[in-house]
Amino acid sequence: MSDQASLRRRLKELLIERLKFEDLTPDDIGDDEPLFQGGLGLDSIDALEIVVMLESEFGVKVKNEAAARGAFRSIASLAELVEERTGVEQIKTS
Amino acid sequence: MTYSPSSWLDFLPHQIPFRAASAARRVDEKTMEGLYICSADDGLFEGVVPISMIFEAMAQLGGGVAFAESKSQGWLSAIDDASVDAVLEAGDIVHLRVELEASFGRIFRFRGFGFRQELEFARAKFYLAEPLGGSL
Repeated sequence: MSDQASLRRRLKELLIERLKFEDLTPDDIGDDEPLFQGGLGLDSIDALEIVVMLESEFGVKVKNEAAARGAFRSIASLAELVEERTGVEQIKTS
Repeated sequence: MTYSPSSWLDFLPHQIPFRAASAARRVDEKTMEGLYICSADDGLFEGVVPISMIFEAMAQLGGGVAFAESKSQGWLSAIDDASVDAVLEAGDIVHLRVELEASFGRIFRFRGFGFRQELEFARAKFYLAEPLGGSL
């Protein structure tokens, strides 16, 4: 599995754990599936939990809603944000 | 600026007759403590105080942290991981402590604890939301 695929899978696992999606597995969430507005149907409380998760797991801080708007679109865009801020190699070894 | 416990009550989003806390004290920028006095007017069910009043009081104290500066009002949006180990009766005095854990945009996540006779008997994670424009 590539670094990018590993990161995306890890993000899916964290979302399921943090948001308590007990009936979902990582394979149920598409990389480009919308997280909000349809798709998984997340809400603003879930957005806060994603912000907390990104900071605690990856050290990535999201300053405001404007910064989150694009990055929180899907698992793929979340992974891009983490890659951009940390680099996949750092995540792989942490 | 310092505030007396009575003046901190003025920062809560609810006031009499809807205010649940009888005292409040801002410990630091993320923490508020308060008292809830169980009374015979609490809508007792077979002599038991509804525990929902304790969580409501926690949320109102959280509002005193989240909305103290903006003076806005907000909603109790969600409660999670709530548990209670005791039954409350009229005359019990509950010490409440709420701590702001995280916030993003207009959503605030708190952890709240209830103590009776210095023993923790209730705890919950809860979320407050500030409406667009700052008031309901």
